[in-house]
Amino acid sequence: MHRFWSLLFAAVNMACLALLVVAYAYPGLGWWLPDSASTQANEIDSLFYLITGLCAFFFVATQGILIYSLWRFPSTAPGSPSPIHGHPGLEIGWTIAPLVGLLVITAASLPVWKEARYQGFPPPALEGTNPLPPEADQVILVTARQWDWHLKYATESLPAEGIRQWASVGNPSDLIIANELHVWKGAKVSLLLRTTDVIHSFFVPALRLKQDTLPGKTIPMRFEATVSNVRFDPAEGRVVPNETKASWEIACAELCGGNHFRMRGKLFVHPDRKSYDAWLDHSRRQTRSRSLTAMLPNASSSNQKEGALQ
Amino acid sequence: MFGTLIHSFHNWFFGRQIPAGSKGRKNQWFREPVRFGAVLVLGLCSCADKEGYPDDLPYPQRVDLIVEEAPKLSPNNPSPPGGLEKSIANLGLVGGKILDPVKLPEATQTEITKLLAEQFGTPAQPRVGDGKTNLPELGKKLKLDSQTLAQGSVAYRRNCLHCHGLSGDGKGSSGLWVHPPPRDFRQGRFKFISTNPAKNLNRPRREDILRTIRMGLHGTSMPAFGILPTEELEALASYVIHLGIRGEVEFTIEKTLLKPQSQVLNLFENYLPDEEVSKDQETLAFFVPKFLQEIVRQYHTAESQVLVPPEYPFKDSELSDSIRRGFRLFSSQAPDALGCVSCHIDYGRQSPWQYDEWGSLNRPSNLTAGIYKGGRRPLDLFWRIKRGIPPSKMPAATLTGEDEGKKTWDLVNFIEALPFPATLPEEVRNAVYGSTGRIAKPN
Repeated sequence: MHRFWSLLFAAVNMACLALLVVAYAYPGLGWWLPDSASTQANEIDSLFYLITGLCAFFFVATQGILIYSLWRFPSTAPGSPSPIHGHPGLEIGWTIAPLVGLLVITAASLPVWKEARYQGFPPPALEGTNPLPPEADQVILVTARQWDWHLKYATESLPAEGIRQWASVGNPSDLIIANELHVWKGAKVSLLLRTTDVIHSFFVPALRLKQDTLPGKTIPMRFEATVSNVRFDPAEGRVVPNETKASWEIACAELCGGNHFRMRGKLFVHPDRKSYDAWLDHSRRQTRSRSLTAMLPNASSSNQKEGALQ
Repeated sequence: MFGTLIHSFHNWFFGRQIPAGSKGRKNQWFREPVRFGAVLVLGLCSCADKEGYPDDLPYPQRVDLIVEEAPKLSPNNPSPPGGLEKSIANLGLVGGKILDPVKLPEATQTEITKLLAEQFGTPAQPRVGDGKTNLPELGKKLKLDSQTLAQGSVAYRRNCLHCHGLSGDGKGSSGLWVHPPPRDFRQGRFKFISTNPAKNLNRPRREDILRTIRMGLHGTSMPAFGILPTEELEALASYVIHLGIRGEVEFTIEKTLLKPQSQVLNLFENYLPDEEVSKDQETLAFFVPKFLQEIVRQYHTAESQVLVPPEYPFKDSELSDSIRRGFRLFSSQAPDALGCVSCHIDYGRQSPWQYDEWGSLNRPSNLTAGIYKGGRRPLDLFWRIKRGIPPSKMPAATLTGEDEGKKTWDLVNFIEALPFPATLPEEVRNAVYGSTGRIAKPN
């Protein structure tokens, strides 16, 4: 047992690699990437594979050296290994290698970042003349707070002063609901992220969308969903899952306080604009109703067993 | 100091450095695997946790101060984070009245705890009524059966406990640090209710509690729980009512008995005036189940006593005029004005702090911000106006006459339009935002 630590390290490392292979080879286990449901998902996944590949290479290399050294020179063995001091070639080598790796990652990620973040939004200076982000089908303001997401849906044309003005004041007809992000397949969605208190992070794994919300800032993001998971059923007056049965979570990905773990929401992707409009119209009627009899008990529409988070 | 500690721990964990070839090494060969295993097992143990409360955990007895009467004056600032209890203790100095439940005779305290446990069970097995003689029927109608409550208690522990506390006292570990403080359910009082005030019922309907849980209280730290399964939401509402009733029984008894020269008879006189009690029935053991029945009956009555708003009388083209009329009603100038503006000073932008029934501070809503705690539906605004928010001193609007319904809708229309300067008629906009059209900033 003199070589306990080297054996343990070797075993743990082998197990890690084996897990990686199993997770990749058997997607049914759900250990690999979540569903991907947006146009940018593939590019972000490619980035993930690139970074995982780079990390795996260095992981195997460094752990290999570590385990070999533990095995070869256990503390109980007589004598000591001869250390290397001041080897310029080695030092330059291990400075250049990560640098190259990081540059490769940066170069690969910049176009994806640009796509997700900087396209489709007018610069603040031009906003007054160009109120709607070009090509946006839907504008949604996401306001994070401890501990839920408030989503404001624009239901009519945005004010001429621009979207940031709309985010601050808005229209009386806007629909405000909590924790439910509704879009339709193929819609170019512009999100504005805000927070009323601390830093949160709006994370939708299925869309590969993750962005911190920072106090005092309004941060634009965009995405386009490619798969739908629900449709609106006018007869039942609620959203029902479609054949994919997929349930997509919105999570807060930045520790934001005691209830951070339950700061969750759901993503609903309707198959087409018609279904979305029906949902929007229904929800608006629900929340704008002035008569008790016309009200269904739920102000929000999709709060049903099927729609619940697991 | 700290370094030495770490060093000695390191020496213990990894074993002292033993010179190669010395004696004693042979007995040490198992040291590493055994210790590694021990740490692993300890770590895994911490993952094992049961879903609900432990079975032997009782509800804690109320020991914090009771606010009998909140002060009338408006302080400048709310208590600092974590300072609510201290500020309640000092309410006596500023014109309030507080009572200390710990001053009750010990025998009485023990008796109250025992009687409450009989009627309300424990956090793991909550119930309302002793399950035999007491309210099986009404309890079921209000979904206060022990199965629903047990489910509610599990959900409550997961979602609500850390703000609202074990007994619903609003003093969970996070609850101390937020403002406004989480609701203390133990007085059985709720702010956002829709029952008919004419019936003199200050009880919420289940739907009111459910709305609060689903949508949260915008503008406070109460988040929205709408994506939980419907069943769980219902169970949570039941459990909140359970905590409310339990706390209210405790609160009422303690509050009454703490007054000088008061006896159990005073409880019957004040809270069960219709009950005829003989001398030997003047006991808490007789009072508690009766009072509990009375409360549950009130909750049950409240279910059917929703305040139905009159039909909305206006066409879209009449909206501007309606807003103008609402503006006049809100102000204090017109002869029939309600003077809402005397509390919602500057339309709420400069509202003063006030004490509510719990001894904590709140202030009349800033109506230019478009943030409504009790909900933003026109119906919610209607209920807030017509019903008032009794525990926080907001009175119900005293509108009379045959066009009462119209006037209320005028007010609703005005308040709905208030955060959106562009939708206000020009003279109203000028009055609220000045001629520059100052835009309300969301807070």
